[in-house]
Amino acid sequence: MRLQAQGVQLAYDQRVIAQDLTLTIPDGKVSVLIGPNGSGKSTALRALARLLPPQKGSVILDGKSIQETPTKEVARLLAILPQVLVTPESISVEDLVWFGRHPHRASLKVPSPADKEAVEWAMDVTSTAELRHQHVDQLSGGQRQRVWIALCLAQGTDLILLDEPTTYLDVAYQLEVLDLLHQLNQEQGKTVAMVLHDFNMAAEYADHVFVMKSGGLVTEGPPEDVFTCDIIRDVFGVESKVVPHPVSGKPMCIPLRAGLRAQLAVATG
Amino acid sequence: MSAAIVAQGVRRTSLAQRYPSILMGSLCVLAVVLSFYSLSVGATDVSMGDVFNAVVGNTSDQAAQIVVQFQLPRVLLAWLVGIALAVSGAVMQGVIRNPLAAPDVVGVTKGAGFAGMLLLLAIPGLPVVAVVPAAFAGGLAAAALVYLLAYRRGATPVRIALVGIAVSAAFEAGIRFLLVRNPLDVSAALIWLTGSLFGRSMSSVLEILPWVLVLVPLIVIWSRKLDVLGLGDDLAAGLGEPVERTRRMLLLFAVALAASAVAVSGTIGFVGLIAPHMARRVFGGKHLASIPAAALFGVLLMLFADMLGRGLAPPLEIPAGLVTAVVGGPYFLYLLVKTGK
Amino acid sequence: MSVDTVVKPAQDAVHKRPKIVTSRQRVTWVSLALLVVVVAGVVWGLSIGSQQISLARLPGAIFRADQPDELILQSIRLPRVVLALLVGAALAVAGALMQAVAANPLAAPEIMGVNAGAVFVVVMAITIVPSLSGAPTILLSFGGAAAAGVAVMLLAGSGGGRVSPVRLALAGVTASSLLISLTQVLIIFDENSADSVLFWLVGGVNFAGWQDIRNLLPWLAVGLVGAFAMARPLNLLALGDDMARGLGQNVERTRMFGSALVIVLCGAAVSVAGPVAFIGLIVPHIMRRLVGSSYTVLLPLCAVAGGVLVLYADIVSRYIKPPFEVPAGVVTALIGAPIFVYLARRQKVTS
Repeated sequence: MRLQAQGVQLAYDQRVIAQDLTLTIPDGKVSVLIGPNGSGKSTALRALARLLPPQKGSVILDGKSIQETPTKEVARLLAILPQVLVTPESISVEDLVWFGRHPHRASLKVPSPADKEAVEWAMDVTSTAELRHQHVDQLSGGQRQRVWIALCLAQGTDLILLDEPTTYLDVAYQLEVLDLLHQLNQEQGKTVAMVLHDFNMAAEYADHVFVMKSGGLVTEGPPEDVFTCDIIRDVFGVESKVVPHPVSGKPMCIPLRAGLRAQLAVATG
Repeated sequence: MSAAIVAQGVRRTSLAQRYPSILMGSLCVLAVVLSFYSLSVGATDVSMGDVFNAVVGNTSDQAAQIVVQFQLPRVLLAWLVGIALAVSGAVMQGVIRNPLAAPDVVGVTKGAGFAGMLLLLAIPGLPVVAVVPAAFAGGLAAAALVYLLAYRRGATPVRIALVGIAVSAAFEAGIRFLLVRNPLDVSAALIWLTGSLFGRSMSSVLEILPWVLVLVPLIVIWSRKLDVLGLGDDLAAGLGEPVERTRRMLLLFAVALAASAVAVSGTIGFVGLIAPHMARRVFGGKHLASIPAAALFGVLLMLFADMLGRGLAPPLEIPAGLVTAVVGGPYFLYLLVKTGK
Repeated sequence: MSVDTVVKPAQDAVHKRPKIVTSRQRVTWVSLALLVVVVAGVVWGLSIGSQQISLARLPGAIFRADQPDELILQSIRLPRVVLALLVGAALAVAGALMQAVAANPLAAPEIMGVNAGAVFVVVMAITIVPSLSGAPTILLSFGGAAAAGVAVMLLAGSGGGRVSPVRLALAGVTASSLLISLTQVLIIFDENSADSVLFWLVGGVNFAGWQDIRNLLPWLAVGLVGAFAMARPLNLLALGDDMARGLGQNVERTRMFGSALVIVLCGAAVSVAGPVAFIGLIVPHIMRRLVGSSYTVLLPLCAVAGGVLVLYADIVSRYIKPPFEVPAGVVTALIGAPIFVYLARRQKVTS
């Protein structure tokens, strides 16, 4: 496995978020980190992405400690789409996607054919090629996320990390983005690791799920193993019923409101 | 594909953004013409043709030669100071990610002013030239102070800006204290503080020249790094940019440029703020185009300010710094009107 | 620059929900302490100067006017002390109001350019009509203060997005430096005496006369009374716009009144004492640390503390370069700047 956090302790200033955390991102799969607010899922992802140096332990990428690898080299192996994205004013889609080639371009170098190819491919795969001359800040939410993903793809990495890529998007756009990521994994073999807020979306799209709570890993595994009433109750603090999705068969967690909990108790005796 | 929502009136890249070289070339020509015009305007009027000949060395016309001898340093200084301030401002706006950032903000201007004043008041009658190294050092020291105070596992743009404003205010307080303790020299000190190109000689030009020649090309080479920084710290790091280091270097360059400008010409405000703005408006946000453009606008602003200062009420000289201050006002009103909601 | 839609909401709001809980005892102690400090300051301020007047004679000296040094007391020192207290009160309360209305811990009259605007207009007026004084000056001062404040808000808000402390500070600094440069222009070319130059650049109470106090008093009274009356609405405003509205508060009107009061207080203070720096920024912060954020308590105490600060600054300033007069604004700037740096460093950064 290429990317792994080994016994890391993560903190912001004096506040320790996670202790002795070990996470191994499975290659070639779609992994999702879920957990309530404050569980440390975003923090863990940032540590994996070299954005937060661990106080103890280390993050290993391709056998080397990620902190000791130069930023540029890491950027050629791993792409991160952070949660807060600042769109520069009046920038076209094409110009934004070109940023993805930054790790491959020295300061004085003119764009190479390989660069152009990567950018075209990235826009093609994300279906943003037809938007290339439009200004990014004029696109819809879903289109904009696709453009950002194209930027990450243009980096040409096999590993893509995303921090809450769908939060606050309309549900249509959420599916748009997740479908794209799924496609990238299936057709291009990209390893995708992301933090999702909605655990049902996680169940639908993930091959492997990491469930986090209070800075620790509660459990991990395929959705079928991980999404149980007990775990949902323990981690998220809600009573739920887990049923198979009527179409995909994946587990669906349906939180139960107060009145229903009583009914369920009676029904199950 | 998903339901594409095409906004009405899709904004596309402007003409200037697609053919920047032509427009910039014309601006350059304009600046050169203005320079010659500036050489010919002043206490004694000499024709532009004579000026051109004098510069080229083609004439024995005494008047023209004298004029050139006195005015040439000023014009050259206008170029260099304009470029230095404008590029410095452009870099700071890119690094701090705020269009209102300027060299004045990170404490450079006030620090240089304070150091310069300290020297001027300690040794009255000191020629302006001698103040230069002190002012330069003061500007650098102030910026270093700001960076150190803003540093906490990294100096984020927001902290730099806030601390910079505070430190500037502190130096301003220091300047006022100095003024108060030396009430007799207040006017002279204020005039130096306001900034002008009056009475500068070639030595001032030589003081600032190396900084501009070395730093500006470096910055232009690094313009893509500035673009990447504009995407936010996280994404920039994800794209392989060592954010803290790059930011530090860029700020260092910007500070050195600004300090050298302030050191030779006093605190000329607003050029570092307005020129990058204008450049971005016309040429777009990519720094490869907007930085040279800012430099050009800086030159034009300085030439204009200096000429206006000299030509408005001869033989009285209005310091260029005042003219830029007065020009700054209307430009801000324009900004407000244009973007106010 | 526009921030993408994928952004974390109110949890990371710049604006920290303040604790609107005050400890009665604390308030009492602080008030008493302030009172003691005020009295001490007044006594000290009245007694120092080129003529030493012994403490024992002070009370009598205030009311009789038989001997020459009693005259000095009444016509020079007393107004100076009184004006210091009044101006300090005005500026401190204005600062507290401003911070409430702008929901921005770095909002202060000097940072928002309000003081600079007022000074500029007044100086311009005086340059054009040298004999100008009294009511017209003050009204012009209001105009300048208002125009500058509005301009800064617009400038900070330009380009969309929330107005963070940084944006406000940057906009304010830009506007201030413009206005200050312009003011300097006028001052230099009018060839005023060094003293008056400094007065308009730095601010102080060393030229205080009873006329100034008479000019200031009505506006100060209006401003302070208005501010104290707004204490409850301001407390609600601190909970956030939406919350305040939900509790029946007319947010827009509160803001407008608050802003108007700031203009009145600042404009009046600046027109008689020049741009005394930092009172509006640091006094509210310090008082908040001591007594909490409830405006019913904060505002009156700010008024007193502000007065104290200016009074002591004025006293200290007299020791700087005796026997010359040094405007109090210099001292407040020297004290205030490091505190400002400290505050700037402490800002929780979310933008």
